[in-house]
Amino acid sequence: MNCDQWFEKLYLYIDKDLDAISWNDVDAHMKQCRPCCNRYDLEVKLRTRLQKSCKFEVCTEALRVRIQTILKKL
Amino acid sequence: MEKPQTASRELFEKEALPLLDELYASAVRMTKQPQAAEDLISEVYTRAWKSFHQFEPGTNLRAWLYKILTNTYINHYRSKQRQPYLVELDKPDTHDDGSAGDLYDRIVGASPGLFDNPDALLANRILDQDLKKSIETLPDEFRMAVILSDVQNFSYQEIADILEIPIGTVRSRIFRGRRLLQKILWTQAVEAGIVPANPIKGPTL
Repeated sequence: MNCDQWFEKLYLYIDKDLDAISWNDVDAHMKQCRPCCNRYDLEVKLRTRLQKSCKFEVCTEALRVRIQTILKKL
Repeated sequence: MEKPQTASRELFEKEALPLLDELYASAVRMTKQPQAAEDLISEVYTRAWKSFHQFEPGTNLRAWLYKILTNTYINHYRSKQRQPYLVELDKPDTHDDGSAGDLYDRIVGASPGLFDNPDALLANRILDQDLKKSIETLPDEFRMAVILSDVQNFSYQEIADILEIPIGTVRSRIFRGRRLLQKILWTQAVEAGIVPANPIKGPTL
């Protein structure tokens, strides 16, 4: 597997959307190719940062009350 | 409409209300406005409770709520006008403007020694608000796919069910959405003066 072929499968690898054989190919290439390993690392770190910054947002107390009021009326 | 039972009300409050903060976060990223997000979420919870008798216990309530969220957003909140930006961004990355490649290529190609290691830009210079802004800049279709996959961690199959689109479409929207997000992050970094503006060609992929 060369770097281009590896790159085509990168997201499928990260998203666990590969069969075992392809997964092993991607994994093996990455272990012996520094730039691809770094590229993978950056993708994973970006994902982690996105989740950390965007997954939750504490909603206002007003919204919480509004929803509870709506639910009580229904 | 059949009268929901007290027991199911308790279940709804116990299971659905704790998801408020994450649904609200997704709503803010979709509508880009806290007030619109509050209206959207109020409507989502209203609809969810009204159709809660259709929810099959034991199936994924979180995914079910996201389906209501995305449906409500698409049908009532999304701007109906065509997004010209989408057409432009839909084109494959070209290599003639020096802005090709993913974030890694841009960082590595920027200038030797600008960053100690490839993730220094991400670790030290890109702030939470930059990440939020980059998601909000994505065109609708890509934004929804990226929120559901990268932020909320749904699988391709779950996203296909939530958005009611084929799994191949999910895959392609996620891939293109991620590339686009990285392009936007880089553009924002250039605009903020964090990285030099002069385009330097990255390695060709």
